[in-house]
Amino acid sequence: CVNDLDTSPIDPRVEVSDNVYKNQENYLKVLSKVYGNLSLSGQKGPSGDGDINGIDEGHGQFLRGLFYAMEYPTDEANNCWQNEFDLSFGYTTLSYAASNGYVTALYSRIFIGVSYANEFIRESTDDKLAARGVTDQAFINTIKGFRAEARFLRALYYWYAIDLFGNVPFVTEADPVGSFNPQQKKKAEIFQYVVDELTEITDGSGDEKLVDSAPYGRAGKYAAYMLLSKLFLNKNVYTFDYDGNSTIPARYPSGVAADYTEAARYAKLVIDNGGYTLNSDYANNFRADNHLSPELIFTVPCDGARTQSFGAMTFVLSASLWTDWSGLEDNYGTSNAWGGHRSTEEFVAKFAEGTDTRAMFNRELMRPTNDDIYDFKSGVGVVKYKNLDQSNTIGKNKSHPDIDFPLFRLSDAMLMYAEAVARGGTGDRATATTYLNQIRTRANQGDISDTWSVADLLDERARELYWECHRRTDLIRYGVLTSSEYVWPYKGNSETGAAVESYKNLFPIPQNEIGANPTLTQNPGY
Amino acid sequence: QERSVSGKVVDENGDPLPGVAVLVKGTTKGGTTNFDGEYKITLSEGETTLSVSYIGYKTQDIVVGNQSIIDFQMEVDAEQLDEVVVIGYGSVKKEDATGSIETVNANDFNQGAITSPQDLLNGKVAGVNITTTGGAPGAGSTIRIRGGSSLSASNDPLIVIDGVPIDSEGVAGMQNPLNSVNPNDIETFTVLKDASATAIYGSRASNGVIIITTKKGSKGKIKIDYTGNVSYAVPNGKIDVLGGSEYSALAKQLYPNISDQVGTASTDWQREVIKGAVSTDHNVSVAGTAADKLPYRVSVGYTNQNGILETSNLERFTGNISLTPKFFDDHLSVNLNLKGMLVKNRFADNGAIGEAVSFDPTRPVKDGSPWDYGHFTWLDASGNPIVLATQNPVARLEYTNNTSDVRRSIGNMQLDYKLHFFPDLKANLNVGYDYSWSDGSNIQQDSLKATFPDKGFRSTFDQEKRTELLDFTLQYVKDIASIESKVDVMLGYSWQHFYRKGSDFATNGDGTIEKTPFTPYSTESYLVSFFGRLNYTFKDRYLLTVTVRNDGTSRFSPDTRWGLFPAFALAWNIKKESFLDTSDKVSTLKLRLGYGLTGQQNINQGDYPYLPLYTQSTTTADVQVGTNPDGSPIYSQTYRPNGYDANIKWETTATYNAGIDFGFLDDRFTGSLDGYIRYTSDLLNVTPVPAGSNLNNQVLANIGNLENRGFEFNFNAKVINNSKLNWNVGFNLTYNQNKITKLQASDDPSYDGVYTGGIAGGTGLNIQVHSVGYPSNSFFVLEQVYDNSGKPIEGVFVDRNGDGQITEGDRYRFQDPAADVFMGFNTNLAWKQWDFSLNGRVRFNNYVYNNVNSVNGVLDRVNQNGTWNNVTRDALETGFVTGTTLQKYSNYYVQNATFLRLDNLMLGYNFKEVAQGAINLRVYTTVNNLAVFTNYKGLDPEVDGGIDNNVYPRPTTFLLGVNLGF
Repeated sequence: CVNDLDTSPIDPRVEVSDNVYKNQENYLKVLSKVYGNLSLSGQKGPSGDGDINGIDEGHGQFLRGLFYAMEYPTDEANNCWQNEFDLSFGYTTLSYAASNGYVTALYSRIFIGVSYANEFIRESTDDKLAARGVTDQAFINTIKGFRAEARFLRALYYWYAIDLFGNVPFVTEADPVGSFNPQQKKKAEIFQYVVDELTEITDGSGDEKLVDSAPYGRAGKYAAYMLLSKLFLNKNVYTFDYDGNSTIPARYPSGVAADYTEAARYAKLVIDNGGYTLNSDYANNFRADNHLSPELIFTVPCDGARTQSFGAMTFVLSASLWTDWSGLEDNYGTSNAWGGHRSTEEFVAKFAEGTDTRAMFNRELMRPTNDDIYDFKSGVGVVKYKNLDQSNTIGKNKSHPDIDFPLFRLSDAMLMYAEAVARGGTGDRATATTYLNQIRTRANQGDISDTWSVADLLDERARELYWECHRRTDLIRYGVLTSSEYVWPYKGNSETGAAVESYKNLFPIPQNEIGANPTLTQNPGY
Repeated sequence: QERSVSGKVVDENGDPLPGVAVLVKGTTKGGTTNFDGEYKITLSEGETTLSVSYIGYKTQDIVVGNQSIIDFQMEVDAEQLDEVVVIGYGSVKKEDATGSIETVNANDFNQGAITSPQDLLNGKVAGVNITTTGGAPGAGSTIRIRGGSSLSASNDPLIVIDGVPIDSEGVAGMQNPLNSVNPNDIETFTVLKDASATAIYGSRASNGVIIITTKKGSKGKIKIDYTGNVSYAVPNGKIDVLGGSEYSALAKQLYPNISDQVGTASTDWQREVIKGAVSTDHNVSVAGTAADKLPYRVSVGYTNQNGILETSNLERFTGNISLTPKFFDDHLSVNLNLKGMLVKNRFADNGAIGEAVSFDPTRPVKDGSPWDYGHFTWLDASGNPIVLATQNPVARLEYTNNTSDVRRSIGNMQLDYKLHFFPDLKANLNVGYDYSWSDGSNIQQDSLKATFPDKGFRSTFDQEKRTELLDFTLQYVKDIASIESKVDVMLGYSWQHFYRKGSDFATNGDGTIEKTPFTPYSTESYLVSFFGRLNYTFKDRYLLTVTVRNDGTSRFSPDTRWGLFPAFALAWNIKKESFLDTSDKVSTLKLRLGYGLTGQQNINQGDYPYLPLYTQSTTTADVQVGTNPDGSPIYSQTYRPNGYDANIKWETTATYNAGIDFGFLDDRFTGSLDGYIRYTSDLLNVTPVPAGSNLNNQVLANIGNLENRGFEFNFNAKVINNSKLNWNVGFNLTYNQNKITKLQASDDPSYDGVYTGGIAGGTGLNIQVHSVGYPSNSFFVLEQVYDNSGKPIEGVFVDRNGDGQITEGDRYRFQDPAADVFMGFNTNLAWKQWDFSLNGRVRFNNYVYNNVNSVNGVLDRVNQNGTWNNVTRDALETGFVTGTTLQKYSNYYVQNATFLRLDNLMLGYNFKEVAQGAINLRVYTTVNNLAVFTNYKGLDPEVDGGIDNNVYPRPTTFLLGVNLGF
């Protein structure tokens, strides 16, 4: 009979959204997916029920896409997978195009994160809770905290959106789910929105607040301060309006002192009040048990048993290893060696090898030359990440490491403080020097000279933060990602390096997106 | 002078035949036989000839002479039986059919080593294109009727078995959903092609309908038939790779410094894994009428098919019961069908085919290696297998045990009741079910290199599927002589429920690591429909058919779930016009015109695409949300909000069809010609949505249009037809052109389209694209540049966008996998007790991407990842060295795969006088896949989907069979 047509899902894993929120335990599960967009590729780890379409599930994972975008176009890393190189890739040579599948996937991942956050925020308002008959005040308060976390994550995703793509569409929980064309906003407007949101959930007057000390894996107040510091440090980049002159400069105009003051202030709040300390052993920040490190402010937790994918740390670790290296399991905790990304002698030369404990490289079978972009062995292996704990015990799963990816950590705050002060922000240069020396001392390096300059910090950041997805942003802030001022092997598809067009400072809005949303304007140059 | 003649009329079995018309020829004088088949007739002076006729039998004329008792034995007229064609929810005389319908009877089926029903039909029907996925036992196939009308939704035709529409999504563990019917039990296939014929199936009819009718009980005494055969499948050529010494020479030339690593053996890896295989097939059927009341047919079948790829096997047991009694003076007809089957599969990993192509021919199969149970394996310095090296294919097959057991039953009961008080009205109730239960496991042994470092692999699955069906129709048929009209009205209601549940689970070999967490699933959907059909005949020659179906599906929201699908057809049976009525030359001539709308709800995207759903994570896709006081992590399951389109609705296809049926010289030459255009709008397509607007980057939505246009021609000739020699020839031809006309909300000319057609040689590489203005699945490639001698130059392509560099922006659409023209031909010859038949097919301008050569046709393959690999001869011909992604995108590898294939050849002999004629004995031999003629550079030009990679090779099969009838 006709009433049979009114079905609802009978699958044990699937629920209509109204039913999900009938159970109070499920609020955390929905919020967890907003976090999980950073670490997972789908609902059936490691693969089988992917979140996004149109790309291999592992390739479309957020952290994997972020690593491609933030590391391969820089001096820190390059990729030799010829199968992915020319047409679909082009990251290493900075020749990415609007139809690039990886650009599309990362863009999709960022906005799916925004959408997940919007959905949670939309479904957890006071009105919705009241309509569902929730009266338990303790639960209501918990939800307010969750909402602050969702707003933090949304801000984080929007930060990546303007950093990578410039002017992007803007949607919030006020928008419906369906088919409409979100309006494109200038990155300066989104910058302001993100700053306002982060300010509100930390020091604002509302009741949706991040806690001081967040549970591990979650965002607390200091993660937000860290992000605020980054936003202000790069504000000159994020607020530059290229619409009028239709070109993107290789070097953005300098920022104003007030912004660097804010960057320094937020960094200082993290350093002084966050309760984080430098780990005495640098390497412990990148091991299977790095969740124990007191230095990590915000991470993307991965786990061999519970949080599996073919992106995230599985990718970062396995792609850095070469199959013929000896003792793969003993030294790195996995024998899954994909031979994907490595570095160059030119980059490694920034380290005082032999003394600098941050220099974790493997030259076995490697050639020092950069003569073959398709050959992993042309370059230097980087073995910073290990699926081994501090006692060298292999993680739970030899295929999927337990390493948590360190998105924000204390030494980055210290370096940002120093840079903000050096760029004219209000602060104390002597304190900054102390921070730099703490970092250097831990690395078994001598004190930095008193006359250190902004320029010196770029190399220090490379040594301290390499392969942690900061490099592209740093090079742009220093005006050298695209220019001829600083080149490295494979930049501009040249063995020794060459300048590229300055519009490469932004990635293109994906071609798919331009077709789906005709109201968008493509970035200049693409 | 009057005299009387009497006698008895019996059927082919000698049983009395009541109701036979016995007339004086040329008059209307006469009568019909009584219940005992007896007649009596009085003849006047000058009346010399009797004419005896009965539907389904040949009319006989007899000169009475001076006889007073004349008995007749009627002969079945196969042609007349053909004349009734099955259409949805009923049947119609062929001469009254208005749509594009073709029927293939058991007599015309393809012969030989055939285990899958669709192979009986291949090449027989214009507009129906069948491509098997390969030569594996029980392999599935892709059936396309007049091209595909959808992109991401299903393009499979609806298949109706004895009145039960089956779920096209198939059964887990069975490659071919049609395999649930034993080909020996099939009586006819009826293919409904145009919308005026298919619209009665409304929302499921956009890709045509195939109605399968199984054999039923016969009148008269018991008949026992046995058919059995044994066949031998022979591998059919090899992929052209280098032999041991040739390879060794090349390796030494390319790598003089490390050439001492080259081995000394000479192993033909393809022959190590692909070998001849023996199969058998046995079927017994018993048919007859029990107690003069209950026609029955019972059959059992057993098939044991070995594949030519080592270890692959299919074992199938089938049973079939059909009961067709009638009650209450034939007012109530019952049609009961029960089918059951058990299939036990062992699947061979097709990956072994690619491994056999690329494995170093200078290595022995076995060398006492500590890995792969003594089979040669590539090891690193520390004695561990090299993860990226090629697996020894012999070991892979031998130590992998991938099996499934599928049990399935399809059954239905139809009650057809002619009302006692109002016999013009018939009521028909059809209740049916389709139930299957399958499970299976895939176990790869520890110490098999392929499973390193996980120490083996094991996975299991199970699935239960249920479909329940209820149809009810009322049919009113009335001849209204006063206005020379005949009216046939049918009204119906249909309800069908589809349910499926199951689970998957996989771990490493010792169960310590979950590879796929235990994942149970279940889902269901309903279809509810109201439909009607009017057949109106005026003056016996002007025919009108109107059908309408209102379909409701649970897959769409209450606002969009009902779809109305009307169709109209007109036919003019010109033969019955006075000016042709008596023509000896033109025996059939009919014009047909049809228009109709059909729908598509088989979306391949779950059963609830319009609902806001959340999916829970498995235990391997959780997120850490904190730490317990003891330092252990706290994990939270995640709930993912899924993308959806609340407004999703039917995809609609409008079809225009014009056709002509013709026959000459008493139908010695018959045929038909049809032209059609099909417009699909509101295409169900997984399409990118504006970022941020939904909960996924791509959502199933109704965006896009496409069209198919083409024509079909078929022709049959009885070249010679006499008592000693019969020679028939049949030919059909189809031309179809497919084009996408809209894909996106906005028509952005720079939009490439939807990438599809993944190729081997890298993760996420796609060689095909759906683009506006081009056929679906067009190849999207770079244009290769050739030197003066016609040799492709590695890495050099035409800079089509003129930006001075070769990038993805230089790709263009070059050909597509669908043939422009396909043809089928068959001939059969019967001479005395011998019979012979031959069938073949031609496909013209179907293009194939040669993925075997694009991966293995480069010299760098010889030494890669520290191991040695063989290459295809193409590497020597092109001289390609590195094989970058750019090179893989070259149109050099998109090759014209036009072919002519001789599918079946049969020679049979009928022994007439066995046991005084009590036994019919027939012995026959067939050759399947006799020969292929093509210029395609790969192994086999017939590639489902157009990407040639690891295709299970189709063997040539020799068969010896016997039919025994009692």
